[in-house]
This record gives sequence, structure tokens and C-alpha cells, in this order.
Amino acid sequence: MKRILLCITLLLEFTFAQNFTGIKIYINPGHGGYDSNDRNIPQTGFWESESNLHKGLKLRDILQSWGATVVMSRVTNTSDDDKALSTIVAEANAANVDHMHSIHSNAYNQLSNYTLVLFQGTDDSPTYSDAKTMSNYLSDDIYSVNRTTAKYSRGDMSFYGATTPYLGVFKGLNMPGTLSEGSFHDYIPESWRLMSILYKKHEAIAMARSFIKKFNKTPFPLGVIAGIVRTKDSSSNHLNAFGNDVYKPLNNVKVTLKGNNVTRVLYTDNLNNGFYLFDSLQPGTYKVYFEKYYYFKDSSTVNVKANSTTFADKFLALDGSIPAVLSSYSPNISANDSVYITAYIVLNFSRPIDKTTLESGFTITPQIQGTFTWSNSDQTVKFTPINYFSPKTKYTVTIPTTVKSIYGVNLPQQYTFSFNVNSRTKFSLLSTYPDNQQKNIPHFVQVKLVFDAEILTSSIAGQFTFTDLNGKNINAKNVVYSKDNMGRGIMVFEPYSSLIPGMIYKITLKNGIKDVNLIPLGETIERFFTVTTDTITPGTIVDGFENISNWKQPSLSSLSQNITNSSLVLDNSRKFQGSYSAKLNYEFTSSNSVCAVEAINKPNLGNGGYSAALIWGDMSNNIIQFIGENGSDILVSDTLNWAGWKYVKFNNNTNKDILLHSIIVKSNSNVTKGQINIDNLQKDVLVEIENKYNNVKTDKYYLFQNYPNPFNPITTISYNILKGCNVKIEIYNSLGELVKVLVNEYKPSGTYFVNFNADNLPSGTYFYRMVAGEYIKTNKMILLK
Amino acid sequence: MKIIFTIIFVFASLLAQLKVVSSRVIETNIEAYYPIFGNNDDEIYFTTSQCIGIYKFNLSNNKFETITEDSGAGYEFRISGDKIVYRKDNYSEGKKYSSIIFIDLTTREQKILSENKRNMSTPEIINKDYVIFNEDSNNKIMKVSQNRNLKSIASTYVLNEDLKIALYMNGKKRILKPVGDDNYIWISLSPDKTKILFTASSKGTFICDLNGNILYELGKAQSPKWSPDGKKVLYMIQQDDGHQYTASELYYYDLKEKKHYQLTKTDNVIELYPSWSKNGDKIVCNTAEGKIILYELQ
Repeated sequence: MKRILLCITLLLEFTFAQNFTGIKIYINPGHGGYDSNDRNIPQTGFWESESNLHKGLKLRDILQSWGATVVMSRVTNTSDDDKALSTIVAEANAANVDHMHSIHSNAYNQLSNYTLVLFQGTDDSPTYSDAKTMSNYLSDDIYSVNRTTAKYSRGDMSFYGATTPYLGVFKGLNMPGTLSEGSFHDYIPESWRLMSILYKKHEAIAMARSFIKKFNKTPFPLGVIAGIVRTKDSSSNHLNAFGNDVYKPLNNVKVTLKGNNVTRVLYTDNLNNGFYLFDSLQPGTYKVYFEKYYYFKDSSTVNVKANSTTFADKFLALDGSIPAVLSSYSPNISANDSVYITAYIVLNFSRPIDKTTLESGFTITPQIQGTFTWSNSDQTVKFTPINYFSPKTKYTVTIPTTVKSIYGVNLPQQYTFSFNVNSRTKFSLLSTYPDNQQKNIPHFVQVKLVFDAEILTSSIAGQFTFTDLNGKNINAKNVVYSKDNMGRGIMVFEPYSSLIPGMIYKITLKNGIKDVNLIPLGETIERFFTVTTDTITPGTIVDGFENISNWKQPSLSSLSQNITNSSLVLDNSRKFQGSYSAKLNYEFTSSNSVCAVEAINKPNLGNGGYSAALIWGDMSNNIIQFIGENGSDILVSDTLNWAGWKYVKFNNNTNKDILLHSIIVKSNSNVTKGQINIDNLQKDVLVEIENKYNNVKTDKYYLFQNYPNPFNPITTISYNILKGCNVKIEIYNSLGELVKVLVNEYKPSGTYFVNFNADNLPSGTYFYRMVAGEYIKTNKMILLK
Repeated sequence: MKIIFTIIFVFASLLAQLKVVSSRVIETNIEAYYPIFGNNDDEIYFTTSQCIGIYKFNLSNNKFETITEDSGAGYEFRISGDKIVYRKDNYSEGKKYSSIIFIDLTTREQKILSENKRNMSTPEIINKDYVIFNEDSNNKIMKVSQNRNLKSIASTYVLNEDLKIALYMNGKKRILKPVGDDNYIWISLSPDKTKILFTASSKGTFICDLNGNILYELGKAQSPKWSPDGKKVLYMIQQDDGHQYTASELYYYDLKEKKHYQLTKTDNVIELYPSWSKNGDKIVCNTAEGKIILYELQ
């Protein structure tokens, strides 16, 4: 409703005498979406794609209210809106518009802030003279409203020093075109201004004024009052700020306009720009009033002229006589609720506080030592205990009236609040995939770690390693942190490239990893897994699943039964190679359901060797099968008990070609709904079953070299046992003295890992000796402290 | 003229699959855009980077020729036999006014079929003598040799009207929106006049029948062009950073196989706006810098 009202207001404001009927304009708000190339300023939350769109939509509304036909390259800001430049050019051409304008903002070195408008050609020789004329209008008009330091109207070849036309949005364009870089969004004060919807509207009004000139229409009869409200009593704290940008812009200032039988009220937003704007004002004299609590009221008298903006910037002075109050605090919870031991206390005051009076007057019971950290121009103070709060304890905080504002005025009242601390003291790892010491893991596994609370991602750096048993770091990709619907923290990642067949890999989580409540893991956790020993050399791709036109949907496939809501779709977010894989979404309605996708032209997988497809498993324990030509032969059957890409392969030793009828998922567990991805169906796959990794001999007794080595003070020793027996591992120093018996017990067949902690031992060379039945081996290791 | 030594990529080994076997860069003194073959495969017509003028290059004698220097002439001009028709634009008080110009390339006789009108579409030419265009949103059909307006023509053709597909069949017009509301661009009728190739700018490129039923979904495919036999579609996949082109390669889609094939993979060349020769054994395109490249196919 509010939006409708705003639109009506806008239309009324701009419905004045202009007649743009029959004029066609194409507006391209540059870029699109919130992607890495859409120019984000994290400090302010600015996205150029979003800012350009806001300006473009305002400009469209104004031009349409005058009767113009406006074609937009986009009206929303998603990645799908990020059209190719050739598509934008083709749209403008096909729409046969009179002018194309592309809206951008600029970035360079966080210091510059000028207005730049470009046209195709050189400064002196534009491809279209009309484009240069419009560019001149735009640079004049945008510069007249934006807080930039200079203006330029340039040919793209001259500006970029190019010998041929430079900007893609002009290439192939069949009409005059311009591109405006209204201001610099990486200059932080300007970035905050560009977060103001009114500041962007102002640029749109400026561009509309240029279109009036271009089409030789009557100058706009109404005017604008705009300004920035700041205070000289505080700094803006922007490193590169210059001019009045060094002073703090004031948020939430009430600005009232009176005059010419008009009264309007607005508030500056809370985005640190202090910008306000009243548009569509009849020429004449107005008075603008400024009000903000803690500041003295002020006003300005302003003369409005037609078709232009009159600026009325204002500095408000602080009124120190008003006492500070405690605006908010945390923990602010009920008696039945509680906080974690890692909590801290935050006090927000309405005015800057005298630090000495607060730090001496602040009390907490039971007493606990802590540090004070001040921010927000001394209006916010954080008390952080040096050690954590005690679990299962109630604390009470008191802030007495002796605490003063920086203007020397005492708090009007004493503040007291309490909170309970809960009993949780440890962040826990609940499960992993692969399980610890699990074998036969796919080469392209997706590792999944499940914790009992959401992970603090910033605590992972330096606290997490993924290595092979030789200590070599393995690069990971697609690392994603999330929280499931039970509040558990999930971390998944994949190896950057294929893992080595037969190799043992180790995941180490150090005790510095924390949950979002800063509760630490508290111990170092290691998990090991072994990759399948099969070595696979890809074969000839039969279907890369770049399209799925050869596959029937599940509901139309002859082998499907008892399914609903199942589909086969292209998936560009998860693919083994190329641009897409096929994603099979299945949903079973009974315990003997089959979700099939049937080939229209049955793929020929050849004969006399292995065929395979990459399958992304969903850990459902349902069954995947490849079905042969007659619709009943099972070429391969596998349990979906993995995550990541796995070669699901089968051997055809006959001399007859195998044709693939269908790929099916059959119910085999209590998981009735899931999804798998399929990529690179291939034939002539080379499979080496033999273990190629010489250092890992899982079919023998074996004592591996410790890792890390040298070490300080913990290292891991791993060993392999062929048949169950008593295993003894002893540590000796360089003098041959027994230092420790690390293992001495019966061990069944398998691969084992044991940590050796040398915390109490001096640096030096040590030996570890394993005796397992008749197998005896000694290795050397070095402790370096 | 020079031969460029660029890596020619061949994908798969099907006998029927087209592959590039040679390439040739045609140096021009101007930035060449939107090149197409003329009546025979020895002639390439092109325009400049903002569609000003039409120029001809003769491959057999390497000669350039200026057909016209009219503004806007190079956008969607049409050649049929020895006739060329184009839209000429001029601007007054910022507004575009257009004329339809018809030239006999043999005699160089020029006819102005419509002059200084607003909202003029680009023209289509049928059987060398019939020119079709929209003038102030009204469909006009002219028999040029007799300088006569016809009410309708027993033919099928498509025009882009306000970014929608306007299908004209035997004098009746239908507006088609086969994939719903969107901006429809790069619209063309198949050589056998049974299918329409188009791009919905936020959804991708498609082929539909004359009732708007989707027959093929080509996905992301820019500036698509029918092959002369109507069995393939040539297109580009262009990438940019929002300001400049960063890459573009040429592909084709085989309607029978329903498969896409990549024709070029040249890291140092940005191929744009490809077009088939009349025999379908060559393609011509321009680069982002405005050079013409001729690829021979086999």
C-alpha cells in the first residue's frame, strides 16, 4: 500500500507540461546481481548493480510520467539480470529507441570522486554528435547534484587511450548512446551517500533534466531542495575523507519543509549520509527546519528555482545539557533464559560517556575480572571477562548514577540487570563423513563434518588441516558452512582434484575452533579415511549431460513406479565437468519405489571393457542401478552411501555392445526423498584395481613413518595389521632407553593411528618400534621444541 | 589480407560434424561489424561499430567498395540478388527519423521507399522486388519495380515489433510470446518458413513453430542464425565484465542431433556476430576490435 502511495505521489510530482509522447529511451542499469563482479563495498553494504538499478528505475518513472516509452534492460537485481552486452545492444536496437543510456558508478583508489560521462569515439570526433551533446548535458547535470569534485564528458577512445571503440555497450549500437559514471562508490563518504535512495533519486532527476535538453523540451518548471545534515562535534572517521566529508553525517534527523502552502516532513536515513531531498517544488522561498535529539534545533531559508537544485547543507551543534541514558544492554534475557560462558556485556548509551566514571562505577556480582572496550564514539562499551563466566551462575550488573556523560552530566538513574549463565562448556563434533578410519572412499569425496552447534567460520583459519599421510596439504574447494534444521553446524568441502587411490587422508580439527557462541572445541580431533584403491582413467564421453534432451522424465520412464514429484533437470551448480550435470530429484511413495530416467536413444557403451558414470551420492542408502538394453539386465548396482562424485562402473567382457536403457534409483532405506547428480557417462574406461600407492600396503603388516616429522610435541604413528595379533609399539630415545610403551594390546586386522605426545621430553632423535607377531620394524623420528 | 595462425579446435569425430578447417582475417581500415555474405560467397557486406554505412569486400579480388555512408544503414540490412534494402536514420531534436532505401547494386539506382518517418522497422526483402517494413506501426508492403503499395502478400514473414514476435501469414498478423513476457530479439524465420528462431533476452534462445510451440531450447546462445538448409543454428556465447567484451566463441546447434558443437576456441580472438555463407560452407564474423574473420568449414 505504501509503495502504491509513493508511486502515485511520484506521478503527481512529475506530471507537469513535459510531453515525451512518442519518444523511446532505453535505460541500462549496469551490471546485475550480487556476484563477485557486481562491485560491492563491504564497509557500507553498497552494490553497484543495486545502486544503478535504483537510479534507473527512478529515471524510468520520471520519463514515463512525461509520456516517454522506456525500455529497461532489467528491473530486478539477480544474476539472471546480468545480460551480456551484446544482448543489451540487441534489445536497444530492436526496440528502435532514440537514445540508449547506461548507468554506472565508478571506482579507482578510494580517493577520487568525479563525474564522468562517456560516448563512443574520440573527444573531438564522436561517432554520433548527438551522443556527445547528450554526454555534455549529463556531465553538467549529474555534477550539479552529486557531491563530486569535477566533471568530464569524454569519448571512450580518448578516455581509455584506445585506437578503436572501447566500451562494449556502444559496439554494434544503432543510435546515440551514453554511459554515466555518476560518482565514485569506493570513496567511502560517497558510498554511504549512494546508499541513500534520495541521493540516487537526485541523480535520476539530473539525468531527466538532460533528457529535457536533448529532446528540446520546456525546462522543468519545478525545483529541488537538497542537502546534507552533519555535525562538527564528531568526525566521520573516514580515512580518506576530504572537505565537509570529514564531519559526521547525522542519521534520523527530522527535516521539515514549510512555504508556498506546502509542509513536508522527512527523516534522514540511518545509513551515515545525512542526505535529504524535497523535489517537485514550485519556485519561491521556503524554510527548512532541522531537529535531532541532543542537538540544538536549526533552520535555513531557501530560494527554489525552476529546473534546478538549491542546496541547504546544515551543521547541527550538540546540546550537552541533556543527560545520557542507558539505551540498551546485553545480555538482556528473561530469568528463564541463559547465556553461554563466552558471553560478554554490552552497554549502549544515548550519549558519549566519560570512560573513567563508568569503569570505576561498573560492578558485577559475583565479581569477575574483565576488560572494557569502547566504540561508537564512546557511546558503547563492551565488558569482556578475562576468563569465561562460570557455568550455572547468576550475575548482576549495576551502573550507578556516578557515571557521567562526556559533558559532565550524571546518569539520571541507577541501572541494574541480571542474567544466568548456562552449563554448556564444550563445542562437539557429532559425526563425520567419511567415518573415522573408513575405507574405500571415492576419489572425489565430499567430506562432511557435523557439530552440535553452528560453526564460527572465522575460527577455522589455522585450526583446520586436510592432509595426506605424508603431511602434504590437500587443497579444498566448495567449502560451505551451514546450519541444519536441528541447529547443528555443518561443514562440507571437496578435494580440489582427485584424491590418490589407496592413500590415507587425515582431517585435523584443533582446539581453537569455536561455535558461533565462541564455545571452543577444547580438544584436537583427528579423523582418517582411505581412498578406494581403484585407479580410474576416464574414457570416451558418451553423454556429458550438457543437455538432457535424450532422457525421459521419471514420470514418463517405463521402469518408474510409485513415485511423485520426481524430475530430471540440468544443474549448473554441481557438475563434474562442462557447464552442467543432470540432477535427478526423486520422491518415493512406497517401499518398492523405482525412480527411473530412460534414454530415448539408448547410449552405446561398447564392449570388452569398463563403462562408468560419475554419480554424486546423497548418503540415502537407496540403490542406484544401470539397466541394460532389454530393460531388465542390471549392469551395475550400488548403494548410495557416499557424498561427492564417485565412478559407478561396470565391466562388459562380452564382444557385444551394451546399450543403456535406464538409470534408476530404488528404495532401500527409510529415506524417501533425495537427489543425485549424474555426469560424464563414458565407455572405454581404464580401471586399475591394483593398489598403485606404494607407501600404503593395506594387505600387509606395516609401520608407517610418523607424521608430522619433525614434530612438537604431538605426532601420529600409523600401522597396518594383516591378521589379529598382539601389537606392541615402544618409544626409545637416542641412548636406547625405553621412554614409553605406546601400544600393547590385541588388535584385529586393520589400519590404526595412535598419537604420541612428547610434551615432557627434550628435543632429540627418538625411535619407535613395532612388534606384531613376527613383524618387527623400527622407524626414526625427531622431536624439535 | 593475412592468414591467422590460430588454433582450430575440433570436437568429436562424427563425420557429419562441421569443423573449421581454415581461417582468414580481412583487414579493413574501419571497425567492421555485422558482416554477412552477399548474393554469392565471394562478397562480404559489413558496417561499422555503430551501424553507419554499408561496405562490400570482394574476396576474389580483395577490393573494398562503399555502398552507402548513411547513418543506421548497417543495422539489419537485407540483400536479395543484386538488390539491397536498408533503413537510413537521421536525428532531429534528439528523435530518430528513418527512411527505407532500396538500391540496385548493378545499376546503383536508388529508390526511397519511405522517408523521414518515426518508428520505422528495418525492412525485409522477398523475391528481390517486394520490400516489407513497418512505418509508424503500420505494416507496408511495396512492389518496388512498380513503386506500388500492396495490401498483403501471400507469404510468411516475421518482424520485431516492440520487442515481440510479429508473425505475418497471408496478410494476417499474430503477436507471439512463446515463452511469456520478455524482450524478444534476434527473431528470424527458418528458410522453409515453418519455424521461428528467437532469443528471449532473460530466458535464452529457442525455436518454435508458427503457433508459438517451443520445439527446441538452445539455452544461452547469442545472435543466432539459421543455416541455409535450416538444419543448424550458428551462434556466439559472449562474455564481458559489464564494460568490455572479455571472450566470445562460436558454436552451432544441430537440430536433428539436438546437440551443440563448438566451432572456435581462440583465447586471443573475440568472435562476434557470425553469419553463414549461402552454401553453408563458410562463416564470417567480426572481432571485438572490428576485424572480419572468415572461417571455412568442412
